[in-house]
Amino acid sequence: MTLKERLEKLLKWAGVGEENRTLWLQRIDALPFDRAETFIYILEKFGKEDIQFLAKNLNDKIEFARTNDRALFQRALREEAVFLLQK
Amino acid sequence: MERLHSEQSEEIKNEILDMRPEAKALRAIEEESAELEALTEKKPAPEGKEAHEWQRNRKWKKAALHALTFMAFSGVGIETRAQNQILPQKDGTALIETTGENDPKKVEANGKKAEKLRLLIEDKKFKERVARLIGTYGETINFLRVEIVENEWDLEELKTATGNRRNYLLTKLAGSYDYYWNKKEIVKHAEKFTEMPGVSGFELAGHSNQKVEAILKEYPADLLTNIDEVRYVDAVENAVAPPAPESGEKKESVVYGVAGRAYNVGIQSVLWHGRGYEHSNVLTIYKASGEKPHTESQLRDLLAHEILHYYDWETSPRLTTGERFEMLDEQTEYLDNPKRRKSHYTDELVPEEYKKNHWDEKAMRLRQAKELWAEEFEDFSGGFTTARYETMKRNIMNGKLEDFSGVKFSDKWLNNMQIGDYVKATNLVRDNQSGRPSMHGVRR
Repeated sequence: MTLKERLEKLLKWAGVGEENRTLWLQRIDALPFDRAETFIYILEKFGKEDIQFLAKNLNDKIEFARTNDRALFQRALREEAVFLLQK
Repeated sequence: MERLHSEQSEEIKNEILDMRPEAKALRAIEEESAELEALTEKKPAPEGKEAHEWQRNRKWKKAALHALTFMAFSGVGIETRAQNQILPQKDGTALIETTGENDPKKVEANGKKAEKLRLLIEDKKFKERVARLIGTYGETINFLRVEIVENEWDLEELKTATGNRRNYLLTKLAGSYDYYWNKKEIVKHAEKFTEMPGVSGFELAGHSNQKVEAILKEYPADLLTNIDEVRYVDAVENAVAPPAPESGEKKESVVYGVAGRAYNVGIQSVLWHGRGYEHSNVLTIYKASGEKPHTESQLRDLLAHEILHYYDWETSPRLTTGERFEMLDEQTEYLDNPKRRKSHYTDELVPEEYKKNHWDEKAMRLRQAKELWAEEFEDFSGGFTTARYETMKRNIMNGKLEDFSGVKFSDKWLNNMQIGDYVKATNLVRDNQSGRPSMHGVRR
């Protein structure tokens, strides 16, 4: 199974929608392969809720990159803090 | 993200151009993330058995968040470098206004660089090489190609572009040329980073941090500037595979104990050419999986191996894009050579890990190529001490190293990376074959 196939399977399993999945499959190319490989290895250890959170987090960050909306960014950071504190 | 206007000072523009494109935006993110970090530190970590799992889980979560940040900002930064304004629209889309360089002299200079870039990426040999490597490694080398694909789009558009849009494209392409193809600029940038890596934790391994620092000082300084920290972790780390579905087992099976990792805590380090940023490239040595701790000799081997992982075709901050593909191409040829030396790790353990995990064979090949590169250096140049030099000399003299292609390969590519004062491995071979004494083992 290729890296992208693994990623797509994982995202489908977690219930991430098609549009978001496409975004992940495009953007994953921005990572050097061994980092992407490690990243997907980590994702495979996470639960569905974690992956759903990360999908939202990616969307938020892209939105911030496009709009420079500081309020959006602050909200995303607060959510990251909660995510990190959860077991 | 920065919004740049043409009237902004030259200094600010240069600062942006000087860094990797996404760097500015990410620096802001990281500053705010430090506050977030402080917030999460307030919660006490669990103790006992749960502690390791908790720490690992947090480390993974942080790494995942870093990866997403990088993914989110890829592409945007390229626009930033070309001095754009990104204007949010009411319908949620973004309008990109471009303001390329309009000074006629600079436009002309950018045009020359864009033309050089075009010739390089349209070079027949280069294209054949890229196609060959895609055939071998598939999507696993996409990262090396991302910028080229973007350049190809821009060059295509440049054929018909006029006015401000043309100037913008030229600015962007000239930036790409300097960043990815201009050897002089690339090395100049890499040489800005001169700090030695920090060292921590080795007292737990029965060694001292001072001893490890002394070992590192035996290396050419240029070979360490892509590493932020060398850290010992007093825990056994294993490469694992899930149980086979039909086996009914619950536990994951250990494929092998991981002795060290060229670990990248923050994936953002690729934005920074590795250095200049806290905790980006962390070379980690793990507790030995057997009963005894690492001996000094094992430690030296591990360090040599892991250090070279920061200097391959993907990670080295000192190579042009053309050189990255060339190096991988040559390493692939060596990997496929039936006469090359075999290694238990590269040729047995790595394939076992990929097979058990049902991972992609092309990814496995890339991993093997990378491990082989680190092993070539570990075995042939093996650290930079006189003792290792003597070992290598003995191995050459008694015929243990019949295959010198790995030596020559290490030599050529360390030279191409302009790593100063390294062991000239080919000289070493030549000297020993002629029986003449050599002083190449002396380090600074």
